[in-house]
Amino acid sequence: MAFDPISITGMGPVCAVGDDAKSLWQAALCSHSGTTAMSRFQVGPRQCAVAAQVAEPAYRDLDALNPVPRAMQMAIPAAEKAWRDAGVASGVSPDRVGVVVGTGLGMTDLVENVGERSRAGKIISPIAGFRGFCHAITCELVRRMNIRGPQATVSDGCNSGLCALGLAVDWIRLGKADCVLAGGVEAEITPGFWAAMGAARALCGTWNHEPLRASRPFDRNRGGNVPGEGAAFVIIERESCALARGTIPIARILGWASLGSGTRPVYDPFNPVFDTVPLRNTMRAALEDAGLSSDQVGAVSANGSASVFYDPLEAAAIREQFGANQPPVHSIKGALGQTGAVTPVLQTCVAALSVQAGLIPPTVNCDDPDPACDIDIVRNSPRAMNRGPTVVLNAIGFGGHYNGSMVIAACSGTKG
Amino acid sequence: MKPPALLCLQAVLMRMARSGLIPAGEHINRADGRTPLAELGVDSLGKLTLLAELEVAMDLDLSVTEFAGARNLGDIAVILSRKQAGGEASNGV
Repeated sequence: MAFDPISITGMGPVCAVGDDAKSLWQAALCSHSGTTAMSRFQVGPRQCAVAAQVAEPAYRDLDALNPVPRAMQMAIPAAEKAWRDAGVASGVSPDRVGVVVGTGLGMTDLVENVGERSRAGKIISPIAGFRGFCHAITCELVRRMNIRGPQATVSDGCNSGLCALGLAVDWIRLGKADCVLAGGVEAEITPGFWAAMGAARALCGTWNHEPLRASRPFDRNRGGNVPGEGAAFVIIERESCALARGTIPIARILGWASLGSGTRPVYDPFNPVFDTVPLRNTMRAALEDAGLSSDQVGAVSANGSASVFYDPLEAAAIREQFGANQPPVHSIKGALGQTGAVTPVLQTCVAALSVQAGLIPPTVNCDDPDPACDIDIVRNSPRAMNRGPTVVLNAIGFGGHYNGSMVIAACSGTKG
Repeated sequence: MKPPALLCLQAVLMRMARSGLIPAGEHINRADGRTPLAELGVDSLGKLTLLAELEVAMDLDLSVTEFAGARNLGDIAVILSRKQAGGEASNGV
């Protein structure tokens, strides 16, 4: 069988640092932080008051008669950008086009809103019955893009976007689709989510005085996750399919893995299980799926969420997996916060641009690396990708019950 | 006479019991510094809730790391007393 790799041929990010790939890449190279003071609702004195918020589309309250959930407000333009970027409409049969959307929380703002309105005796729009489901965005994309191939909605927390992309890759490998619109979306800035994650002490409440510096991956003074919102979609297809209609691939997806961590105690914030084996297994499985060895990896796009616990765990897993020949590591979450399902897709977009340019972006706000995170962290300025244009990207699930990894590589004759 | 920190701690535990977060009972009022948290039905997640409630009740920044070693009411009362005398900011997960 002729070599016909699977590639990313279109990208559509909508996030706190911009609403296109160029803005995202420029922000990553220039260490531009997108975390700002969160003012959509009041929080308590010790709660996180910082978020990664999307400026375009601008936030609007839910309309009583035609409520469009925030996730949908962001996902549709993101998906349409990726679709246009790849020129899908001009040459792929709808029967051979698929769609898969990853989301951890779905339309949680609409569900919270309906609950409040119901308890207050207010009229509920019947459209809420359709848009309240996690799969509402997938349905909308099927309708708008006339997609008649495989469709799915994936929800596994912070891994959701990675699993969506991985599922797209597997569909193409199995011949179920020629082209897939795949992505992630998360709209975490809701009172309910904020209260729940605050009760779990997962959010950073110690940097409210300096919002731009609040998300601090691997930094000694990190205080936890800075949540946010965003959407990002990519078009995934065989390179031959793209080239046949004159579309130039951006980068290749060589492999992926999403593995459970096995039997373990229920999440205990006071005695978390420092077990690097599950994440190491996941990185190894992704590399095996890609047909690569560890020494062929040019960089790691870490989960690096500024978690007090998970940052050193990931660092230890990276040390153990790569041994003495460690690749440089960076995290995009200093700029973009930890925004759930969409984050791995944003990591993928940055990784794709990274292997294209041969540059590793710096990790924003890693000013004083924690000695417990003893890895080669790219900081302050971009670094050349001297080991080769291949990136392994990681996503760690909250609670440690699952991990995801994906391998992105450059391809010849790619888009500039 | 019980120290103020212990009295405050018992008041918070009573509120948690009324909310159904831990088993209700007179044993909270009978508890002293040696009473294990487990005996009051406070498991790991209950301890996290207790930490958050104490922060609000006493207007203190409390640390997950410090609370990790607390096994009984006396351990927590010591942490609270130390914090009232001046302490560090809380950390996330």
